[in-house]
Amino acid sequence: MLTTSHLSGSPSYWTSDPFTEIDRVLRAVDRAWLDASAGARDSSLLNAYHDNDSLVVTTELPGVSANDISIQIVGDTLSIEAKRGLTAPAEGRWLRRERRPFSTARTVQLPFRVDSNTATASAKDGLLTVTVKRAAEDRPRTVAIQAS
Amino acid sequence: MFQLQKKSAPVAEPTTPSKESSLPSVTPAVDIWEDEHRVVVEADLPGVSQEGVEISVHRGVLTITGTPRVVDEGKLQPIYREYRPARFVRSFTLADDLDDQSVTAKMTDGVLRIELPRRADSKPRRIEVQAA
Repeated sequence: MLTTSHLSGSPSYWTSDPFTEIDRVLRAVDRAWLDASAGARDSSLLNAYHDNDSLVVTTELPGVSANDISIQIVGDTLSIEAKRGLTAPAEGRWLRRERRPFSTARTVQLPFRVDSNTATASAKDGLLTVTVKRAAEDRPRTVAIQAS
Repeated sequence: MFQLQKKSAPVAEPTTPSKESSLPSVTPAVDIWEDEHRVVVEADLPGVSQEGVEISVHRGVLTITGTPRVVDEGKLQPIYREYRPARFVRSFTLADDLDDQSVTAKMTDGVLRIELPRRADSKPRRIEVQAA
């Protein structure tokens, strides 16, 4: 399933186009359905945090190796693409099947201009953490008032 | 033993909270399959390292607990939140023919795989009928 979502600097994020909104709703329905049917947690959920100088994005990608993740920063958008396949046992019988293969593309609208050269990412234990620094020219500056 | 390294560069590298901390519990997604030799359980535990997993068998009930590394929000402001830091907990009743003494488990990229072999004496045996 291909999903995208946008966010802005405000907690109640806005969406830039109706398709994004539809997608968000579908995703929520999908998650509610999964919760109701299996009581299990969805994959590739994303959190983002920021302070004045940096943005931290974490995404749950269980079973995805670093080779199957690609991260791009273009303009004011950070994109994360990841996929996982699940190999069924050659022989045997399923007793329960809740985990799903996925192919996901998430986009995060950056709250400020970033210096993409400073971006770092680590994929560890199925958790991707991406950190980007605010561009120096975009940081707030204090302007000293001169005595007249 | 896994050591958390304090580095100055990352703003909020996720860290594993202490066992006492009161994280809420969520149910992880699992796959379970069996063949004549074993039952295999695979669970999605994103953010959980090998050291963050606890597997216990008590009175025929297998319980998995996974404590993930979480971002210390500190001065950070959440701007988008689809999941809340939570501990993964799930229990299963084991069939009588499983050998809970020789359970094996490993973690790969946040996926826990547990193998529960069947007891040798429970595997089907072929009994020859002897001519009288």
